Amino acid sequence: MPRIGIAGSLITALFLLLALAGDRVAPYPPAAAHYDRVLAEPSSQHWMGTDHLGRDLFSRLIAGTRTTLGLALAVAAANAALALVIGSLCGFLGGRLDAIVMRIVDATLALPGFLLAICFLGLFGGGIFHLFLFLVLTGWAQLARIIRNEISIVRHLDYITANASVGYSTGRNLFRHALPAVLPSLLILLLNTLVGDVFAIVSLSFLGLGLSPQTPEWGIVLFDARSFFLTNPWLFVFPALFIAVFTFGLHLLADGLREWLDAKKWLFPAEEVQLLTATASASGSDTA
Amino acid sequence: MGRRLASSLLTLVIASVVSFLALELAPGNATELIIGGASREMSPEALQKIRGAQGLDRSPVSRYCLWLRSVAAGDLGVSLKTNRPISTEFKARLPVSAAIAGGALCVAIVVGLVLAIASVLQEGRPVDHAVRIVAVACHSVPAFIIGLLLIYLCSFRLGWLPLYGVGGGRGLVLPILTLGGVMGFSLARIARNTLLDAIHEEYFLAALGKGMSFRQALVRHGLRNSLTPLVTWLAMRFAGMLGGIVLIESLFSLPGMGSYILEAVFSRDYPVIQGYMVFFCAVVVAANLCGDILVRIIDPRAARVRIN
Repeated sequence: MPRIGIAGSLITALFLLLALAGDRVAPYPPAAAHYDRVLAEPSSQHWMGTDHLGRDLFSRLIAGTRTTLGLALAVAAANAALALVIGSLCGFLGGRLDAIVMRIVDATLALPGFLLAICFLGLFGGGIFHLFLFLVLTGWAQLARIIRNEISIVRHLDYITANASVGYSTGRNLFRHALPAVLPSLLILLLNTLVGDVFAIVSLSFLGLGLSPQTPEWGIVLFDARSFFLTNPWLFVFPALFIAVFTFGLHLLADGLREWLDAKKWLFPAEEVQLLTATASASGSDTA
Repeated sequence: MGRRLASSLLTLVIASVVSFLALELAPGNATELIIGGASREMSPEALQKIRGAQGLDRSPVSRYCLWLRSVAAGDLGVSLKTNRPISTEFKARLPVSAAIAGGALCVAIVVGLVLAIASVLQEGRPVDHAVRIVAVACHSVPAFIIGLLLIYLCSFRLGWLPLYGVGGGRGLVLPILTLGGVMGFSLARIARNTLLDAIHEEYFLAALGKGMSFRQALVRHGLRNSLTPLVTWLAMRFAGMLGGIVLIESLFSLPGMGSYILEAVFSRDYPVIQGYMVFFCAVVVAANLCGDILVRIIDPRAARVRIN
């Protein structure tokens, strides 16, 4: 794997580790308020300072990694599962089903997803499950479209035709032979949509929508900072750094992975698939 | 084009059904929403009367048709909080948001094209690298964080611009620069890459061969040929930019559509949320359609190639 890919995977692994075992690393519990040390500047005691309730910012950001990243991963996984099923069926079977579903995909893609998420949260109330649900509802279409396009190319490749001619069932041909061909590009796409999901979650929390205000979460840390950030700039600088390093790591990983997979051409049955991956990832992660 | 129009129309229909259903399915029943919490103390007959007057005893389909007809006529209903027509409120708030959106688009296009041309002319030199680094940095955090940073630096530290509010138009400068700048740097990167592709094309070499200077050929021929992907990209980003406007308006306390929807969300003003949904779905569909038409005007070949 190229060097940027290794750097990217190290950064990503670090954040995953923080999400999994952050409570062991964090110097304080995320909700522990120190009223004698309210809005303290960064020091040896509080590396990133404290917020308006005297809570340690570093600990809150580490705990926030679990919430933000966990939720974003859940959203990405659900989107990928939905998109895989819908996209591969449409792409492989074609016909009327494909035509109808793709019009729905068109419509979903043509609507302002983030604005709809705000409206949905306003109508149905917040909470982690609703946040998850609305991000999936507005996010599956993009992935489904790309998977459908790739599968519909793979479907016409010689090896799939050959499989069908020796009597493989459609299901076996699709899931065992066509689908694996698009998985690498799906992985790269997912890394890009993960960034978009994190941005959406952080943005919604920053507006005070979605998660309850006590939750340690990157966007809520920023929301808490809103009234104090002018006099205490570290309250938004450090969360911004957390997000930026995470995003940067994911982008590096995605780029490295793409280079690596391009070098291993045997993984792809057709060059067209790579072309699609390139265009798809160039247009990925476009939220807010 | 007919196919494209049909798909826009379908999108609008789906958007309207979703908006209608959203209010139908939202927790709490519609009668209670309209008369507030008082429904429990009312007699069933009185309740029935209100339901009849509001058309709530009809079937959902006929209510949808009635609602759609009034929406099409520009009547989005009445706000539960202020009891005033939603469309009046929209008219008062739309100019602020439209100014931000229009301004941000202009800034993005100007910044994007200028930086792209500079990057191509200075390929591999400091300018090129600087644009790339800023573009990556802007891309690494949501735009509102850049806004926080700019408020801190430009308004608070340096005192150049007002911290919040419209301030006679001066307050709009920073929001526009934030949104437009972030988009502009992304646009610059994309434009740079399409321009670098263009300079290896035969028509470009021909232009150089005719004796045009590199810069002239780049602006007259290279740029025109790379406009299509840029317009497509801008149209695609438009919906995302509207989301960014909500955040920016909230951040800068601007009295636009974005802060209106947030007020409505926090006060559970359901009809406003519904009206907002319908309105912005229509705006985005119209914007996408405009983008498509623009692409066809710039590059008539696009009409002949059908991409599925």
